[in-house]
Amino acid sequence: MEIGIDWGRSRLRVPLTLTLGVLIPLSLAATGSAAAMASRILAAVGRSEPLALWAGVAVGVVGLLTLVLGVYVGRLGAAQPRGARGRGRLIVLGVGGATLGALLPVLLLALGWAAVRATEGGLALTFELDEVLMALPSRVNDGLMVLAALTALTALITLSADISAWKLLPRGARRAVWWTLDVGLLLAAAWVTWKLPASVPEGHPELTPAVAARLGVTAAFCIRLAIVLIKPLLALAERGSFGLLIAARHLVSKKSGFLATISSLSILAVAVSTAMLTTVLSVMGGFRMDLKQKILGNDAHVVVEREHGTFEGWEPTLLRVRQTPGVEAAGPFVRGEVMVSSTSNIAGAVVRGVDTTAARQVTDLVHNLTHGRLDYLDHPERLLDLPPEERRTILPLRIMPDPDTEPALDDLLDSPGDPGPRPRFIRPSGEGETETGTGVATGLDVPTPGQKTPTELDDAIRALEEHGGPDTDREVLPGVIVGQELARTLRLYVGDEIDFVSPLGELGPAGPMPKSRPFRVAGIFYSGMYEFDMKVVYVTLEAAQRFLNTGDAISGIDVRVDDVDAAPQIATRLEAAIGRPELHAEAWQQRNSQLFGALALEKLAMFVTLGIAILIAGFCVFGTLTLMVQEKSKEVGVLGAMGASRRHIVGIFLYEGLLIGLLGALGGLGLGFLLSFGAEHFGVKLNPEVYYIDRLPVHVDGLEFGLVGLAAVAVCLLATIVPATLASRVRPVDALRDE
Amino acid sequence: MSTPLVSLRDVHKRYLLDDVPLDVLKGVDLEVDAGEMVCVMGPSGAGKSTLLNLLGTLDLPTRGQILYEGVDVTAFSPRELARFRNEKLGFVFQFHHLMPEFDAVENVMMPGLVRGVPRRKLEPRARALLEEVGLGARLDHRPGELSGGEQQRVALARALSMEPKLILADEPTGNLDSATSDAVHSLLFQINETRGTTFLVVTHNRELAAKMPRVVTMRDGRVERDERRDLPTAVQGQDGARPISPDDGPAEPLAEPSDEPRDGPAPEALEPGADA
Repeated sequence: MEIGIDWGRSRLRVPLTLTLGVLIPLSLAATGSAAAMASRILAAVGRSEPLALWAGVAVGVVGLLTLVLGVYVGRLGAAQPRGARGRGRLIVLGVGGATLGALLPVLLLALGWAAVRATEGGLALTFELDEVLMALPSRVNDGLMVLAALTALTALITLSADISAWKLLPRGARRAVWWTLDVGLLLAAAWVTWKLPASVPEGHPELTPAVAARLGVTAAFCIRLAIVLIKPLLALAERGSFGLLIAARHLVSKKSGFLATISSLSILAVAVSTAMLTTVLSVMGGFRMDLKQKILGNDAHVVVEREHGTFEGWEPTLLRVRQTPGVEAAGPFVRGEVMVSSTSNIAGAVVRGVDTTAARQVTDLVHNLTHGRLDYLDHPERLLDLPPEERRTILPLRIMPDPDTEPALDDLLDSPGDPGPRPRFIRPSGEGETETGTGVATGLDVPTPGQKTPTELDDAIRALEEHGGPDTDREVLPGVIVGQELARTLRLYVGDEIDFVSPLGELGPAGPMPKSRPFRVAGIFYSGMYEFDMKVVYVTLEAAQRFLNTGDAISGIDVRVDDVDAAPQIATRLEAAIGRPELHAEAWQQRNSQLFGALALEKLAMFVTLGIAILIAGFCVFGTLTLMVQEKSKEVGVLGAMGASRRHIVGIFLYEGLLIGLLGALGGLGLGFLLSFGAEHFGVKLNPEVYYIDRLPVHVDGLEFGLVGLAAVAVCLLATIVPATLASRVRPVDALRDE
Repeated sequence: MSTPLVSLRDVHKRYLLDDVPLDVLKGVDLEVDAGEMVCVMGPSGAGKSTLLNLLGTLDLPTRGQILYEGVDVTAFSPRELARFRNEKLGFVFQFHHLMPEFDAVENVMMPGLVRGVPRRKLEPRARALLEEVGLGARLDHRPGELSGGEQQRVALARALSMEPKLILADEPTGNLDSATSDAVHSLLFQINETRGTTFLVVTHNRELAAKMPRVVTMRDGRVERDERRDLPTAVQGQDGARPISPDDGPAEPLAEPSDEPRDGPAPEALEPGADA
């Protein structure tokens, strides 16, 4: 009896029987077979042996725990005086469960191990499986997913079965297990904080698992800490005031199961809605941040220009602009609309003539270049003699600008069977199968989809051709830098020749005719903004002036400021400093006000919509507390008889709502932070064809989190007003009347 | 002192049941002296519970005065009443009405906690009280883990925790078997003897009534009979009675009950038969 189980009570008997007799063996069997099958398939796919091993080990550990538990429970059952038959049944159940628990994982482990090992001897089977994988890539993936889910589910069931028997362990043993777990977690948390990076550094994607591990361990630690701390914290809170004492007790009370359940449910509701709201706001903030960064990177922070047309005498103005405090750099530009035509296509574009030295400082153009160099604008003659590796183009498949991982030409030409790391393609969904089809149709041995595309081959062949081919167009032409999308549309390569066609033509023999000038592609940039990548082409200031016939005049001055948020003020200052009434300075906020306005509106709408979720959580709190008041009306009456005033009673329920709100909000904020953090670092991949960004941008704003938390707590407090008032109206006489 | 602890003067109580007036008390006059043990009996509907509620200031009379040590509590504001109940009265209900989320010690401390007295001041006294009612081994148990008799003892200790002058008990053993009831009854007498606490007990229990020195019988909203008896069982209860000395007047705050002298000098016991 010391272990605290009253065997005579039937409360434990049913779950115990269920646990021992059915759940454990069943779930173990399912876990084991799922693990075995998963390991079989993983092994067949290759290089997943450790994973299968770990799965096996996990199953083994769970099995071992179950075995220990089974033996213990069996012993316990045998020790209880409950009649010979009952005892016998229990012993049979215990022994049976233990045996099953011990044997099944061993058996399944053996199976899984055999399956893993089979790949070494049975390559034929592997080959077959590869065929299957090739034919049905998505279905196999789905299958793996289902298997993984099944494994997780069954492991969960097994664990919960173990947990349901957990209370049967003696207190000391339970405490020891918790201690071991806690100390382990603490050490692990300390270790990951000390050793592992907090975020994935630029260009080191291989560190992602380390960051994930750190995040996971820290999260587990925090959750455990919260669970451990919640009782002492509530106990501490109890000392705060009488109302808090009763409220805290009501919340942790196990006496009335239903109330405890709905209390936790309302805490959960608050937490989930808070987490949802913060996550969505973070993503919206991320989009805004992304947009801001892209705009700031591509466009000048402040632009000084005339309402219409160009202006002359800009050198002194430029000097004044540069001397204005807050201005970091400034450069002149000429802007005009042109048609750009290549051999294959034609497109409209905005040509920007820039001073290359100033452009380096004013915009991020240099960093955005994925191919070519900015120098080539100033020295177009070097374009005639390009090293071959610079003559790469944009593939129809979007490759992120990451030259390190792009397949080199050699790799493209001979890498038929090598299952090396896949190039980082981001492919529109559903293209994989067709590609494989093309690969097979062209008779090329393409084992893995996405390895190689006809266009890449085109590229290679073309590169070879042009290297060997005769010099056809070796004339020195002014350079032009085009956006990635335009390059794709026009099928441009660095070094290619394109024509600018201006509608403002020149007089030919037969009247006005469009003016056309050849340029040579000096570089390709990727800004991340479709509009820019499709529309803007950069040339030197002089070239633009010549082509657009502006003479010495410029369209405006691009300004970079030191504090982007103060750009409007600096713009005002600039206008005063320049002292030319026809020139206006406009900051990026004003130039893009519609865009940001729309974003802000969208965010507001989101806040309102999801705020309703918090409101619903508030209703949940309302319901919980109303029920609580009803259930506790006698208690309220007794407190009244003991001399608790109305204020005391109101305080109790107010505190209860406050506690629910605080716990829910804290949990929700933590969860929201985890979700946002996860989304930021382990990225939700987006289809760039649709969104033009490769993954979900996330920006965690502490102020926003705080506000959402406050809102949640406030809603909960508001929701308590009515129940608390109801409670304070309870008259002891009515509440205590004989039942 | 000649001022009785409680006196009811022509107390009427009228309830409205669906707009139909129902006179529950029709002019009750009653005086209870400090240290007395009074039993209120009578058939159902005689107004016993209403009387108790009025005495406990849980309800206010429609007409008449309720004087505690000469002060009319019917004129008190709700807050004053709450404070008054907290300091001067103790309740024991038929159903113990302990708070299930709190253990025995905490339940006994509850009136003090309501007052805002720090726990560390309340706790030793609560433990002592529980030991006094014979629950020294059950201090950390929650009400659900206690038997009916034990629960009622905890309730009694709780009623005592602020050193009230008067404990109002409504069928305190109505829910217990006779053996347990007897134990609780003797506890009542013992407390009355050692502490001089005044008890006013509403009961149907004839055994208890037989032991009580004063039995007030009610019928139809009036006091029908008010008997004082010298019973052998009750003699000791009266002789040993130590009414709280008049010096511990109503102005004395009871915020720190632990500091109160447990066994103060016993002044001359009030003559039980002094009142008419």
